[in-house]
Amino acid sequence: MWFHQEIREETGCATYLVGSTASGECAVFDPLWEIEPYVRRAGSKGLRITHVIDSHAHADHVSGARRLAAATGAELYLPEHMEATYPAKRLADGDRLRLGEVDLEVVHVPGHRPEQINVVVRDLDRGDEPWCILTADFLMVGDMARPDLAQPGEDGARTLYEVSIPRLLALPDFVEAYPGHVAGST
Amino acid sequence: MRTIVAINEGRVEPGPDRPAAPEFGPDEVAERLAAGAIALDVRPWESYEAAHVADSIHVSATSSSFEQYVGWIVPEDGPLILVADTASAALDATRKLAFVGLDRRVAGHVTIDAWRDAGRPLRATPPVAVQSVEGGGRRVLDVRERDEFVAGHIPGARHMNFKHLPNEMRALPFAPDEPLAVVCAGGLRSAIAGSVLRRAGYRDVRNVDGGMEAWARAGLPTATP
Repeated sequence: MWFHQEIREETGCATYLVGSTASGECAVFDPLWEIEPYVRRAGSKGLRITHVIDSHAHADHVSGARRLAAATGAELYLPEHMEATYPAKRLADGDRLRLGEVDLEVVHVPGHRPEQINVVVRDLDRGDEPWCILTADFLMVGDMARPDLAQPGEDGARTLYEVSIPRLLALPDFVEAYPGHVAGST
Repeated sequence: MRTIVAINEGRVEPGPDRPAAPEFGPDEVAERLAAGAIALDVRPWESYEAAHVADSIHVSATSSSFEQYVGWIVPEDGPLILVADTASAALDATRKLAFVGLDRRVAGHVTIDAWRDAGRPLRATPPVAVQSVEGGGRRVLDVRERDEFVAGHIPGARHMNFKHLPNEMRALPFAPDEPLAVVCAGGLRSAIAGSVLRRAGYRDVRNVDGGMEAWARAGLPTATP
């Protein structure tokens, strides 16, 4: 399995590529508007971008998911509950995508936005246990994302606490969390 | 932010795959500005303050938060005409704006040299030294984040985060012709704020040269609330 975190410092955005060395397929999680870096990275590893996933309807930046899928012929995946006027395959809680030895498990984590999903990554060559979770705008470094942007704050916070955090805590302690933002977002 | 969500949900079309910022001649720019376009000066803040197009808003494209800052302060409607040193600087700025969906609003650009060579008017608003601010004569507006202000500010300074100016500057206690000094940590955010205030009709606004860093280097006293 190949894993790469792509950080754009200007906006503090962290996005991810996860690829299979066995099958040559590669998934991109939450790509930014400028898609060339993803095409270059995957290409430099001899991988084809085959899956493009958006974790939610971002409010702070324009997603490059549609453009990247169109440019590479990859399948575009959106959360089950995300509103979108354009066609895409939908990912629901518990769905799994398989790329060679790489297994991507979808976890629905509402609260920041009602449709938000995270992806739990497993490298089945190493074992069945999860290796990391891509937490997008759910879990950041030392904090959780705002619950008041897409719904009343109290509702969002309650959903985070009662629904989503338990799903995170159900994972083994050794699972690494990779967020969608690092320092830089204003 | 609402527009960005709308773009991501497909309800609003994003900008083109290859953003462009075609060059307009100064006469055409003047006509478009009169018809409601907004001049956005993306040059370094020292250049903006030395000479700028009247009523332009300013955010330096070399700032690592350029597109986020533009998102905070740009008026909701109206096409943008970038004022830049070169065509390639205008294009770079437009590509950065694409990250937040603001490339859609860029109609084109004009270079400062073309504007000047056509004899079009320019305003100069040179910054003021911290010593002159200490001496009084200008009311001070601190536009940093609240926690920066609370940690130590110029005695007597009012506070309003520059990001909130467009929506909240009506609440400022300054008359339009009152001499003002705007301050931030180093001078970049206060230059942005100065442009917003000037565009809103404040007639005598100057940037504090070197910001609070210069104030501290000069050994001047600060106040905490």
